[in-house]
Amino acid sequence: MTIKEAYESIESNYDNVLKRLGSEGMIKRFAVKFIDDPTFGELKNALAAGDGESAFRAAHTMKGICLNLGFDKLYEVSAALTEQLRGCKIAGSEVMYQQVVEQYDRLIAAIKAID
Amino acid sequence: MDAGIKETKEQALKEMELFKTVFDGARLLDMHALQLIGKGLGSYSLTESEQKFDFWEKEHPCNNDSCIVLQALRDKDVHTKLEFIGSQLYEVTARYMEVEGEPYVLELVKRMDDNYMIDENQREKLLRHFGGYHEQLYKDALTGAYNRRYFEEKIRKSTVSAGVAMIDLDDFKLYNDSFGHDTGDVVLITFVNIIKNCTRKTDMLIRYGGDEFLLIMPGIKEENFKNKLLQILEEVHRADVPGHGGLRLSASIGGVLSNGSVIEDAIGRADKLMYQAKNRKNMVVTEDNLVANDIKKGMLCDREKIRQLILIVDDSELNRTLLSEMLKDDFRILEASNGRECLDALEQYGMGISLVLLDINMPVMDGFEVLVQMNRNHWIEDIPVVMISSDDTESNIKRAYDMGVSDYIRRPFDAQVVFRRVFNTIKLYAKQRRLITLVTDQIDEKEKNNQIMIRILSQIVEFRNGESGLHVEHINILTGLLLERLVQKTDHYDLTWSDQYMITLASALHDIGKIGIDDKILNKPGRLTKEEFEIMKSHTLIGASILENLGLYQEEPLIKTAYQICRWHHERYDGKGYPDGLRGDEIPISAQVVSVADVYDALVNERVYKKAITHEKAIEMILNGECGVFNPILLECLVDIKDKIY
Repeated sequence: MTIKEAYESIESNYDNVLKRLGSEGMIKRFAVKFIDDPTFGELKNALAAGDGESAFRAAHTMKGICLNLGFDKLYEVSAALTEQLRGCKIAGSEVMYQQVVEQYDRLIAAIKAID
Repeated sequence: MDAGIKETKEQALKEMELFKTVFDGARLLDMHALQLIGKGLGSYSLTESEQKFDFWEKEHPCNNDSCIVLQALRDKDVHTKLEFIGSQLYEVTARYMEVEGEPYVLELVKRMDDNYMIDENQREKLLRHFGGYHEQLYKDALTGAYNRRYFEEKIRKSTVSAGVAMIDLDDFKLYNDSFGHDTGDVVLITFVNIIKNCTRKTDMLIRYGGDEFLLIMPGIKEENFKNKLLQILEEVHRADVPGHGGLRLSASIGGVLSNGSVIEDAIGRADKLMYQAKNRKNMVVTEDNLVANDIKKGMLCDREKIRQLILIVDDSELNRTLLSEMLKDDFRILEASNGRECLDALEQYGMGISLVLLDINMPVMDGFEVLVQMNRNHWIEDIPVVMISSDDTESNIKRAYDMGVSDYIRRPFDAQVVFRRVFNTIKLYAKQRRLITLVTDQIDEKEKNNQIMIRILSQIVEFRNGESGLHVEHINILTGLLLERLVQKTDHYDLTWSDQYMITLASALHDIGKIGIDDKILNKPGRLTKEEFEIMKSHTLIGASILENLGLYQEEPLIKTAYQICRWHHERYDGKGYPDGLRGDEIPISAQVVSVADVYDALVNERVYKKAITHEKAIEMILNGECGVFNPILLECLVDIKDKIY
């Protein structure tokens, strides 16, 4: 799969990202980097530990990364989660977190499928 | 010309033969040929009879607007024009006529080759005549360089193989503001003349902005280009500005080679390098790494060393790398993963950091806390901050601007936009920073001159006294040390930093009154008689009156302080000194401090009337009151600092 196809498979606008970041090489490099990015793990751990503040920050960081790399779907759900966690209370965020997990897994699978 | 020339065919053909002996080409065009020309078909297909008149072998017809054949036909008149075919200049005359009732145009062509007679003087006039229009339109009226309009219309989109340099006159705004616009103009003209003298006739100098010039040197070799730029730098720095002998000019130059690409690109690159040069001014920066010899000269500088440093603060490594990727080609990058690390870096590098890219939400310390600290330390005034965040609520943006950030970039960011904003902000601050250093340098320079003047003055006195000259220096140091200790021990005297500085400076003048004392008394080896001693004592009042009679500067703190010191540095705390017998703190603290310093230094050095004694002995004598009574707290200070003055 090409990088463009990967973006399209997760309903994300590849052309927008290309316009902003300038080159396919750069997008690919950073998309692949995202697989090893610790933010998702931090979010997971913070929620498991009941640490609302860290969870909020991790969700917020995730939102920022997704914006920059143009992961539109994961951005939408992590933005929603960020708002839910803004008061640093975890209660009530479970459904949204599940959506983040779902989109995250789809995204990672798509990136891994890039040739 | 009479348009109604009517001829018979025989007449016309006869004339044509005659014309052909004078002109390089002559032909008679009939309506058929004229219609073809009118349709833009230049290689006129001529009928047989006309072919013998044909000379004109133009591949392309001239466009109808400037075709004088058609014009002559239209006006029924005669027209002449000059036209280049390739590199050859031709004079073309077209004349309307009627041959046996039919309209014709007679076309006569003369090649203006080297045999064309025109003397030097006439040629100049001709060139000026034709060149004049361009001159006015495309030349900068003040400097005679090409103007921005010329650049926009003729140069911007063109492609060249050339050396391209941006040359910026350092601190031009300062010349303009402090010496007036007339001086500013003279400076600019001087600057341009130097560059013109250093370059070839084929090179192009364009006034790109107020004090920014663009130099284009077609076909120049890399090595020569570099040397040329260095030569310009040197000559500018060496130049005298007419009527302003003291002014020293300097330039910041960024130079790149453009190998057949659009000139705009080369200018962009040269501009960046010029701003790197601006960091230090009086410098040339080019793209390649440079030969060691040039670096030694200190003018061409290794890019790496002067590329500005940018601090990227973001808790996500991925985001930092992304930003770094966008900027690393043109800047050096430093990273911090939270606010704490950011402040540490600022502490360590200070103004070495040219710009901070700051995220808001971060662990340990967030972006706003960083701004609070930067405001508290006044860093925000010198180091620009560009905020980057996806948290772009109205209130956050407003708050960030209120706290002094220069710009705010929203996620998702665009690589070009980030680069542009960072570059522009740095550009702006670079200029400001340069001005700050310039002003500080000037103040330092003035300060140094003050010190020198005072030193000369006191040296004159010392010289007359037959003293070593070191006395003044010693008093200076001792006074400074005593004051420093005094303010640590007590705030009774309310001495500000500038008071201390003033007293220390003025201490050098304590004995200027000795200039009015007779040599014989001043340098008498033995003991002074009572009368002689009375005269000697008057040096305090003489010194005071010299200062009083200055008139102009009476109210200046330096003069007031010097007055106190001159008059009262022989007073003693118990009221037994001279000339006024002041006691205790009636004696200004300035004079009290200098008197201790004066006595100590007189003791440990040799005088015409006494031998030198040791440091320990001198301290002991002063503490014992053998040299008169001093303020107890100053004696404490003397004891405290005695190891430092040993």
